Order: sequence, then structure tokens, then C-alpha cells
Amino acid sequence: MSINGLFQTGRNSIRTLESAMQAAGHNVANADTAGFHRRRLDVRSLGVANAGIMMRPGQGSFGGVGVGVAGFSRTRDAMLEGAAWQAQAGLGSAEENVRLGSALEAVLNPETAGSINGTLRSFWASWGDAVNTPTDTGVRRVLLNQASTLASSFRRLDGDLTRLQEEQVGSLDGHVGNANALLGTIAGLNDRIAAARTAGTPDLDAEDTRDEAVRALGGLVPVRVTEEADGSYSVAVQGMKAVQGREVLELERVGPPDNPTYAVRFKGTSVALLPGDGADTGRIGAALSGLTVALPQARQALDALAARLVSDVNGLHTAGFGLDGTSGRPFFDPTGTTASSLSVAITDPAHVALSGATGAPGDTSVGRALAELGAGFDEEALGLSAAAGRALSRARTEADARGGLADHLDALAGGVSGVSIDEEMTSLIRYQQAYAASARVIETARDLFDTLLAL
Amino acid sequence: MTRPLSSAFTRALASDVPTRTLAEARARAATFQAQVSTGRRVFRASDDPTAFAGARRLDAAEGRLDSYGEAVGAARFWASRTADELDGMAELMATANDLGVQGGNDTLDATGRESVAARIDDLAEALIGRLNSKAEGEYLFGGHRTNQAPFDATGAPTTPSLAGDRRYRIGPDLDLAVNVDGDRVQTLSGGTSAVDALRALAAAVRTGGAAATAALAPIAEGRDHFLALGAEAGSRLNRLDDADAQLEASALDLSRRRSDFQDADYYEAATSLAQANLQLDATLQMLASDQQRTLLDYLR
Repeated sequence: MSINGLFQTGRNSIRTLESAMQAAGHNVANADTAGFHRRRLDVRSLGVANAGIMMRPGQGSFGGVGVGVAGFSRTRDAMLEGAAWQAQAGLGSAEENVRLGSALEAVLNPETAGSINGTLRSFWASWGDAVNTPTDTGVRRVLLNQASTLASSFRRLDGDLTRLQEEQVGSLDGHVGNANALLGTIAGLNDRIAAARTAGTPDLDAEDTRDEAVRALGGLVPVRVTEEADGSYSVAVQGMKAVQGREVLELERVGPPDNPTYAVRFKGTSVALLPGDGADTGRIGAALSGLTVALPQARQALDALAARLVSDVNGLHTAGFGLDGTSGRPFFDPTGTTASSLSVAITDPAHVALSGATGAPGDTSVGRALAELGAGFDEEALGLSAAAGRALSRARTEADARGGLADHLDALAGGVSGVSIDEEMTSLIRYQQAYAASARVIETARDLFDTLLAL
Repeated sequence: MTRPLSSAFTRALASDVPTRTLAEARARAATFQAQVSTGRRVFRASDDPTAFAGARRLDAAEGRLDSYGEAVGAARFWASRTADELDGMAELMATANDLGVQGGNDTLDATGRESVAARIDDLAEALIGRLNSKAEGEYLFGGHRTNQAPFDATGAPTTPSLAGDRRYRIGPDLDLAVNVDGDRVQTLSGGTSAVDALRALAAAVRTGGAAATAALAPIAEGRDHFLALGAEAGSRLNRLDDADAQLEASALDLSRRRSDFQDADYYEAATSLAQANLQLDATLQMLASDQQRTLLDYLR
């Protein structure tokens, strides 16, 4: 090892430290970049074997020439990141459930003007008023108006549910489109990352971008990621390989009229995504669950309420007698037994049957029985909004819990991969001092060289 | 360099944690602000599903109480009108009785008797008018046939039967008949009617002698009959008053229970708001100081 070797050692150290400071600077610059993993400089001790023939050490000479750059890598904990990605599915499901639940609660709110609960109450109260003054056609007309208002409320609520369903389909389509775009991004980046690694120059920015895409995908569908030997990710969604290398298996939404029910399938297969109960299945699973369970249940309950209203009211009304002494008329159109088709069949106030006998308007037995039906319907209508409220409350609690878990796992993963300015500053100072020390090595070598030349 | 997981404080954590904490503190303060400003604790079903359902259930029950209250009001009007008319009929009969005594006096000549008889005839007409009296467009004494006059100009029933209860629903499964049907009103003992009794008295007065005195007995019976029926209607009014008082008490109870379900406890809400505001201030202060302090501050 000659004095030249000392120069070489100092030069290698300075080069390496410059790279280290460049990495620290890059970390500081990207401290707020989403998905950025702090870069780590991997160094290795340099032996003379790599230093050329002039540097070959003689017997008893030191065999090292300082330090060199082995490469750059991303600092991350794959296990924590994998757990954080999986936690996104639970959070995505819960947030989607809260979104739909909030909309459903607003639609079914019994305190809004024109709600089913309010119009039902007015409707039954009108029967009471009509019974109190059975020969007053004005009061009977008010009853018919209230009945029409009630039917309108049912139809409007049915329309609101239809619109909510359409919005939910649009939302699901959006989620499926986003998922497919992310799958495509991951596959594309897989290709780029594998090529870079093969070339020995890993594309760390591409790897960051791919991790961000996986994280976003995790919020849409539950994913399991396996890192292959070439650095590419294989992404499985409910056991199906959605990404393998550069290959993508996309998702597609099917539904009426082509398909009897709404579903999300893997394109070109008959394998459908299982929405489960809408938990841990990401936004897509929860949106699908909303379309196939929550919304149909609400509509079914509303239709059942309308059908029972028609059946119960008509059952009593057809047995009663109007002011004209005739009987057998249904109050509601018996063919309209859903919320969307509910309508009042009676148009003449005199045909409202309050009496239990012909020509006896003072016998209000039928009207009183009709007015008394209200209690059961109030309870059933309240059940609609209460069920929506309970579901939303559960979804919010779930979202809080899932959010807490996702935040915790993100914090743990971020604690490994995130940038700490303080830490980077400390490293910079350390590198700065090492740089000065390396310069001193070169200065020492020069002094030695000068001493030798001066002999 | 390896970091201990629990102590790593990265830029992401430095911005995320306070932001989330701040949002939570603001939401908490907003919740109590809404409670204090509106007095309500439960606004939507999801705030507290059990309390919300309970409160709305009581709303519905209150609505039904209102309907019963309306029925009690209508029934009271009917019963009151019935009592008034029956009292009026009793007075008519009492007046007729006085006139009958007067008409039976031997000192009256034919002209005087005719005058008394004519007044009794007027009373009979008035009685028929009262028998056909209405409330809210319905004939009070028509039984179930409340839409047609129960008696004709002669005082005879217009239909074979004037029976039937006029019932009002004044509570859950509680109907009260408030009318006195035409059959009961007009029928005295022996199957005669009060109108017939008056006409018979008028005829007896015209005839003179002991006949007038003999015709007074059905009149007195008619007076007592109407007084008894009037008392019956009056007792129904008392019952309706009781029902009204019960409904008011129930409404108050429902209102109190609904308040328990959905209204905020002002003391608790106000103290919680103060606490939430304090927490918000603390979070803002900590956020401001944490964001400012870095190693860079000490490297200058």
C-alpha cells in the first residue's frame, strides 16, 4: 500500500459521503411526499482487489482503500406495511358504510317535512277528525287530501331510494374503475421495477409509487401482496391473482338488466367478489353490500308497509258504508301494493266509509276502527328510520375502530419508513464531520508526499 | 440506523397526529355547542338509536293523545248540546205542566182555555224543534241516523227505529257513547211520547173540566223523564272532563319522558363544552409549538 493508496482512501470516502449527504438531502426534500420511503445508503468497505494493479499491497501492507457505495435502498418494514394495507380494506368498508348509512338515514329521517312518519300521523288523525264529524264532507275531503299526501310521500321516498341506488351503482362503478386503474398501474410498475433491478439500478421512486397504489387498492378491495424474486408484486384479491407480473385480471360490475342482481366479477370469469356483510371487503365490497342488502332491505320494508296499509285499510273500509249508503269500496287502489304504486281509490268524500250500517252515519264503528290502526303503522314506519340509524351508528363505531387500527399500523410502518427531519439533520452533521476527516486524510497524504519529494 | 418503533417521530406523524387530534377536538366541541344551542342531545337516529326511537315513539303517542283530545272536545260539545236540549225539554214540560194546571182552573172561560191550549201547542212545536236539534250538522236524537231529521212535523219518528249510540273514541280501546237516542227520548211509559202528551193536554184544556188535570200526569212524567236524561248527559260530561284531565296528564308525562330521551342536560352539556373548548385550545397551542420546534432551530 503506497501513499497513492491513502489518496485513494480519502477520495473514496469523500465520494461516498457526498452520496450519503445527497441521500439525506433527498430524504429531507421528500419529507412530505406521500408514500415516500426514506432512502438509505448502503456502503461497503473497499479492498485493494478492486483498486487496480498499482494499488496492490505488498507483504505486510494494509489491504483496504476506504469505503464505497454499495447501493441505495428504501427503508421499510414489509410486514407492517402489509398489515397497514390490509387494514385499509376494513377502513374503506367502514367509511363506505358510513357514507351510504348517512344518506339512508337522511332519506328516512322521520323529522323531515313530508316524512312517512309525519304524513302517516296526519292521515290517522284525519280519520279521527272524520269520525268526530262523520257527516261533514269538508272533513272527509281533508281526509282524502291527507291520504293523497301520504301516497305521495311513499312514492317520493321510493324515488329517493331509487336515486340512492343509482348513485350507489355510480359509486360502485367508480370504485371498480379506480381498482382496475390501480391494478394496471401496479402491473406496469412491476415491469419497470423488475427491469431496473435486473440492471442493478433499482427504481426506488417506482417502488414508492407502486406501494402507494397497493395501499390505495387496499382501501377498495382486500389485497394480499407477495413480493416475487424479481421485485415484482403479485396481488391477490380474495384468492384470485389480480396482478401477476405484468398481467392484470380486471374487475367488472354486472347488474340489472343483464344480470339479475348486482355483483362484481373478475373479468372473463364467473368468479364474483364476495361482499360478505360489507366489513373488511373494502369500498367495493361495502358498496356492493349496500346495493344488494341495505338498500333492498329498506325498499322491501317500505313496500311491506305500503302493502299492509292497503290491505288493512281496505279490509275495514270495504266492510263500511259511505254517506251514500253503499259498501264494498276499497279506500286505496288494491292493485297498488308497493310504495311506488300506492294511490287513493276514493275521490268522492261521501264514499269514505265510516259507518258500520247503511244509512247510519252516526254509527262510526268502521271509522273508529280505521283511526285505531295508526299505532301499529307508526311503530312500523319508525322501525324503518330506527334501523337506518342503528346501522349508521354501528358503521360509525366500526369506522372509528378501523380508522384507529389503520392509523396505528400506518404510524408503525411510517415510523420505519418516514422521514424525520431531526434524524436527517443529525446524519448531515455526522457526514459533514466525516467529510472533513476524509479531507484531512488527503491532506495528510499530500504532506507525506511533499516530505518525500523534499528529501 | 435502526429506529425504535415506538419512539420514531417522522414528518408524516408530525403532521398527521396533530391534524387528526385537532379534527377530533373540533368535532367534540361542535357536538356540545349544538347541544347547548339547541337544547337537544339527539338529532338523528344514529346519534343514539334507542333514545331516538324512544322519543319518536312518544311523539307518535302524543299525536294519538291529540286525536283523543280532539274526540273528547267533540264529544263534550255533543254531550253538552244534548244536556242543554234535554234541560230545555224538561223546562218545556214544566211550563206545560203549569199551563195545564192553569187550564184546568174552572174559572177560565173557553177563550182563556183556548189561549192556554194554544200556548201548549206552541210548546209541542218547540219540543219537536228541540227533538230535531243538531250539533255540527248532525241530529242529536237520530240515533245512528244522524243525517236526517228524526221526527216529522207531527212529532212522529221518521224511521221505525231511532236507536244507536253516537260513540267517540276518547282513549286507547275506549269508546264513549255521548248521545241519547231518539227512541229513548220520545218514549214515555205506556208507549206514549212527550209530544203526544202535550197534544193530549192541549186537547184536554180545550175540553175543560177534570180532563186537563188527568192529562197532567204524563206531562210530569215527561218532565222527570227529560230531567233524568239530562242528568245522564251531564254525568257523561263529567266523565269527559275526567278523560280530558287524564289526557293532559298523559301528555305531560309523555313530554317529560321524551325530554329524558332526547334533550340535553344543560349543566352537563355546558361543562362538557367548556372542557372541549379547553382541549381544543390546548391542541391548537401544542400544534403550533410542535410545528415550530426542530433541530434546525438549534443549528443556527
